[in-house]
Amino acid sequence: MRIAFISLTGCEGCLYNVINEDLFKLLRKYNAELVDWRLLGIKKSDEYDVAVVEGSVVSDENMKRLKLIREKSNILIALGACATLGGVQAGLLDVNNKQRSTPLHQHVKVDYFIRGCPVKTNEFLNLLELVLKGVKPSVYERRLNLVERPVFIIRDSENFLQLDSSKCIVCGRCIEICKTMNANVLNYVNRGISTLVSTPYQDPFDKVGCHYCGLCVAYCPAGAITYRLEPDKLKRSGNTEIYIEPEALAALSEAENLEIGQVFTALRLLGFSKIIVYSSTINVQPGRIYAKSPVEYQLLKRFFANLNVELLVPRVPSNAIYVTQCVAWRKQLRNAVTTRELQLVIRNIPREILTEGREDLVLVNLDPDVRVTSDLREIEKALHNELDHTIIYSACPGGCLMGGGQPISFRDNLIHSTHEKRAEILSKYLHSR
Amino acid sequence: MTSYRLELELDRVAGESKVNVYLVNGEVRVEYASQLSERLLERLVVGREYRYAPYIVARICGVCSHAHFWASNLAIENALGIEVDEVTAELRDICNKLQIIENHLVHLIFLALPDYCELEPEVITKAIKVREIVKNALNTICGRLSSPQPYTPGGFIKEISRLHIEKTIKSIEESTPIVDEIIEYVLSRVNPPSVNDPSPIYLALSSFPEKSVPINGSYVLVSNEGYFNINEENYLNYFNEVKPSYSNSKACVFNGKIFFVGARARLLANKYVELDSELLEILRSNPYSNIVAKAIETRYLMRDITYRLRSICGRAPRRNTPSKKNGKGLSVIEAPRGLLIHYYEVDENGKIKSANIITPTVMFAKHVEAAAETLVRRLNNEGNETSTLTKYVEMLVRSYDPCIPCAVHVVKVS
Repeated sequence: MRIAFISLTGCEGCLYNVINEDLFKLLRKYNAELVDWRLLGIKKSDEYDVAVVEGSVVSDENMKRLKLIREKSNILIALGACATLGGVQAGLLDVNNKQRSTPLHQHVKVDYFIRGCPVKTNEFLNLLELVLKGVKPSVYERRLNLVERPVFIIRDSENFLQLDSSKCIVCGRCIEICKTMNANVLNYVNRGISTLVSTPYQDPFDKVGCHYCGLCVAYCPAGAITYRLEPDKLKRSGNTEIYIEPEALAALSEAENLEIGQVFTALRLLGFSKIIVYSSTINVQPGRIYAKSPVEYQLLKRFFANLNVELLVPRVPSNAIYVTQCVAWRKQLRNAVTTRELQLVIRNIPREILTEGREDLVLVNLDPDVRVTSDLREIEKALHNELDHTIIYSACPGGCLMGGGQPISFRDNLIHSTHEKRAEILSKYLHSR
Repeated sequence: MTSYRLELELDRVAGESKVNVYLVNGEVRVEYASQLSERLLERLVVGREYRYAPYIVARICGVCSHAHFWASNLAIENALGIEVDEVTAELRDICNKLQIIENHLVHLIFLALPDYCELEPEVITKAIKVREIVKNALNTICGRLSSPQPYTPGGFIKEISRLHIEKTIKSIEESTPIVDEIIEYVLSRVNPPSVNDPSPIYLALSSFPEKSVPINGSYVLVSNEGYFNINEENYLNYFNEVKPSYSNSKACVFNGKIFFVGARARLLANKYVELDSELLEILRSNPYSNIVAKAIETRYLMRDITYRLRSICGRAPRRNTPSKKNGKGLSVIEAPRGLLIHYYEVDENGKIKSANIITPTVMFAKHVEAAAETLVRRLNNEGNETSTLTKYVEMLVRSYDPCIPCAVHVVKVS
């Protein structure tokens, strides 16, 4: 690609500012050639693809030149306040009738604008990189990364969860859900355009009280927060038994647009001869309060220190794979995989060979006296009154159906509709047993 | 070939400019014309509050905007009788010197040196690296390279921490050997062709490389014809500006004589570096040798800046307020390319009544033409071809390092 740097009427400061090492590195990286830059004495050819124009249009000569530039170039970038707004010299419109200082887009079509007096070199370089790549950047591309952001990666001590700030688009969804989950690990830091998402002082997650609900991972639209995905666990395990939660089954069926029977066939194709639909609620004693996972256990202990609460540990044999929606269990149990990991494997199986199959065993508690809730007020009531039923506390909004390890739904972009869909599939499945 | 006309479009110069060479019946005439459109920034300042003026005039030129910013602040301070404390003055002077170094480096390596030799990539990398360090140093004090706004008339509005100054000192000290290597490279490669200076009158501020301070209300300029006290009342008696019809910028004479300003003038006038007589003679008589002067100056200023930064490290600048409401003020400073004069008149409402700016490029415009005429005459008598002539004329103009955006800001304020 051939690039020309041209200046019309202006102070030349913008082009003077963008001369630096990074610019030449960038040009070398993308095999781009500088064909015209008067200040550096480069004049190789009159033909170019990208024109970077600084300065405003004041005289007829400027206008003629600009029109010529537009004809020759595929992409025209207006650089700096003079090119985008007319510059300081535009303030003299009424003094001298002959001269008017006008921005470029009043005369020709301009593809991209870089503002500032002088421009931010980083902003320009980021735009140029996208242009050289052939990507069409949109206006909302974090204002072309104009702020030199301190890029950092926050991890925990086991390298399980990580936040890569260079991918973050600062939408704030993870912060919202972190607040909802009463963890308050993530929050905004800095102000204005340099706002970022971070843990306090960029400390590791386990130091600042993260209880690994994993919802930030599920809610991140940019893939900036991830937990360690190990889909290979399913392939190379050599285990023949698989325990799958009914919630995971429903979520997977919804996300991949498969019938539940097809999911069983897919699991058999992966080499599992025995499929058990298993929910840890099967082990509950009547009249007690249970926490579904370590997340809930920590939360309940934090709010009600004297509460007699038990952790529902899934009783899965160590030689069987346990498919769960819960990231906290995935972190603690060695043989656990999340639905998202299973989804990654199942996606690669062609749909044509997936016929409807059946599970071997269903271990689910359908006792109406067992109530699953994510409302802390119900727990509080139970603290003061006599408990006449079993309560299972599930903190994730939407219950385990919308847990942190949920698969990414590709058939509907709206989260609330996926929840309804999943709930429908789940109840249909359970009632048919 | 008794008569011809050459139009040379100059590259490797800040701003668009043209050199027209006319040869009619053996008589040579050279016109140095700025092609950039007029920008009339002086007029934009008039009628505005005085504290906005520096921000506007800093936009005259993106290459040496700190010089304009500083000069306009100084002139307004002189007009309103604002006393500036020592640390502020020193910091501003340091900024100016950093800008001089940065401009010189770019001129030497990217603009001037390709005339003399093929550039080695190593040197380019080094030069870019050092420029980056100097830019960072300037950013610490000024915030940015072009159009800075760290202070107003009265003092700094930006806080500069001791830690930052210490970091800057360290980085500049580390880059000093690299600058020495670059300068050594430049001096070994540059071999200025000889041309006799038609008007060897230099003009520089007598206080350079110390900071620019008026003595009894006037700035002292030194030339080979003596010392001149310049103040707001008499500066127009010395500097006469004319507007040639072929150019968009003005040209200027001092006491009716064509003169030159810049690194060469500073070196000759103040002799702040000891030079052997041979080099001194070359500097005195050959306009091409401005490049050599720039190289020597860069080397000197790198050490000077470290020393000055140390002296102010840990001291905080203060801000002062005006002692009168209106007045006239002049400032003369040494910008990268030579003398820079700013003049402002402020009325009772604190608004600018009139402004005048004389830039270095305007000052040496006539000298460029005169030197080029001498050169063309000589080359023509020796029977050189047009291509050689073109090359040498371009080299000559480039050695002055003209800055066209600075030159075309002007229009007479009515």
